[in-house]
Amino acid sequence: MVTPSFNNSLRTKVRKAAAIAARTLVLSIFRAIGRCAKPLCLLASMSMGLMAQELVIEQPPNAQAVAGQVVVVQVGVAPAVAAPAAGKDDTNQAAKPKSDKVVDKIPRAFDRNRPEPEEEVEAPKKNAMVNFAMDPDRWTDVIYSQLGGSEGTFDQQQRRRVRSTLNRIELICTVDEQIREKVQATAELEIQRFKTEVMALAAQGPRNPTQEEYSEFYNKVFKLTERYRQQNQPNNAKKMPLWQKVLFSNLSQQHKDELEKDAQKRIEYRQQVVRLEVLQRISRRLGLTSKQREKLEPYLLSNTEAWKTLDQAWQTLQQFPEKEKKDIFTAEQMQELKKPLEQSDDLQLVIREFGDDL
Amino acid sequence: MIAPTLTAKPSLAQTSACLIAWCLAIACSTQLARGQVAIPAVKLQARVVVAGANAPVNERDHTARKWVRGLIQQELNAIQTVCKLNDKQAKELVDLMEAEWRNKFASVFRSYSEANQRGGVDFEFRVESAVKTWLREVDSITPDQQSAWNYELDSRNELRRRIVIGKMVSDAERKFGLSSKQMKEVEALLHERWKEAWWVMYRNGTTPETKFAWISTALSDAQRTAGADPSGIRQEYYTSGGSVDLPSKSLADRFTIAGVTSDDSIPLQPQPKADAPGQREP
Repeated sequence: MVTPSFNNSLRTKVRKAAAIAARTLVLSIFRAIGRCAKPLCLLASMSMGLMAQELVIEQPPNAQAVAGQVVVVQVGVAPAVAAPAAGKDDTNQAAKPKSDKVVDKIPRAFDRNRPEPEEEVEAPKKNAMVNFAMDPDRWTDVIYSQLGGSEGTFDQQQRRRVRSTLNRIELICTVDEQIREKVQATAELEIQRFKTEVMALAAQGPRNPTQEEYSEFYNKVFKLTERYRQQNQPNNAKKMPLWQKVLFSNLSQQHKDELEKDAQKRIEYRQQVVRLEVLQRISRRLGLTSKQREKLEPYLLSNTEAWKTLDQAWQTLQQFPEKEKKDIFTAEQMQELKKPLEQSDDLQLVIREFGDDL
Repeated sequence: MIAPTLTAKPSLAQTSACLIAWCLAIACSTQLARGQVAIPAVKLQARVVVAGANAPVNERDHTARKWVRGLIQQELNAIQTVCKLNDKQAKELVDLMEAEWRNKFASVFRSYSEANQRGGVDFEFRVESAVKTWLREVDSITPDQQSAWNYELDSRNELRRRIVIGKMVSDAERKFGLSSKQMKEVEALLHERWKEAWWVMYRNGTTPETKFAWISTALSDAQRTAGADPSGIRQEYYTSGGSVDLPSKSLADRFTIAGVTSDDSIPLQPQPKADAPGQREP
């Protein structure tokens, strides 16, 4: 490695030249400072105030902006700033330095804490349905509300449904642990897939929809949720959820038959309760005795569809052959049966039940 | 208050004002004295108003009265079918009902006319209890007839029990994932715990809750561990209007049983005036 070497005379010359250059530079700097003392003073106060927000810049009263003179700038910390927690009382407010005014006047360009430029929000259209933006989160809420709750309740319902079905099946036939895990994994996968579909659909939702846009998008929401609802309908083998298909594919034919039989019994039980309730309402309307109700009960089983609602049952009874009517009802009741059912403005409770009939 | 002003020397204007005041005071006292004489007339008028208060006050009140009369008439028909009353018994019973029904159901009419919906007013239960009381009050009705009617009422209650428990079992089936065999077991367990209040609750639109502790013995270990599903797929909502299962009878028609009508001496319900606001035409 070669290192440069200088002789003594050359070194001395270089040193002298450097000393002269440095002196000239210092002098010119001082002169320049002297010339622009006042602007510099202002600039210093601004930058200090900016840095510490509350720093005070004091300029001696005798400091004149005379060219060629050095101006002493004293920088200190105001008492209010030194103890910001001292309070916000009036005295402190009064003691606030004059520099506050200076801080207020700071141009935006120097303001380090200036707010971020606001995100441009699309102004709602004049004919928008709602005066707020429908972001994907809101649309997600709308979609899950169609299924009777939030995303959390959807998760909970689905998992519980699988567990409950498996528990019920185990009462009739054995389901080994492996199949159980397989079914639960499939159900989990289905839940995730549905949630992804919901997210994807929610992302497409219009932000400020008009009535038409809302209806159009709502149709898509309905399609998605209806598909899910149909899966939950009993006796819908074609649109059965995947986890149910997996479960059934792992059961023997004998077990399937047993399950089917049990499901039918449960459906029949529920329908019988509905029919009994209709019979009770008919009985109240016509004033039937226990013997008359006993005579009517076989009719409930022979035509189950006709006894689902009070209106249907009333119409069915009106259309009964005269001979059968005379066998069951009294003359007063037959007269009563000719009248239409009264309608009330009272609120009526409607219960819709979606049973899982595995 | 007046005394200090009178001690000072009164001017002409003050004196005349004082005289006018005295005249007014005397006139008022005369009016009061006449009023005292007219008090019996006022009292009589008040009695007439009280009788009028028994009339339907609005459309809902009128509807409630028609439903109650309809239900009473149905009960009379059923009593005749079950108990086979003779003419004397029928006459006594029908007269008693016609005379008392308005007062007996005054609170029902008030509740219904003040409520926004039928919830809370169980017409059927109230009529049933009243008819039972009336039957006891008619001395000529025999104990056999009484017991036949009680059997009829028990049969009605049995049907109600089957309905409410059936609904509760259906609910439990969904919540706990019951099999058909378990449903029968749960049904038996609920029959043991039957309460009359469940029917009233059900009539008002609420299926009584099936408590886990009541039916836990019928559940499997896995079902017991899983517990109840609080979020069953079930929607409940109210809708306006619908068919009514209550019979109605005009306020102008008398109660009848086995061709015997109530006595003409018993006044019928005054009809609501057609021109009155919020009242239905008779």
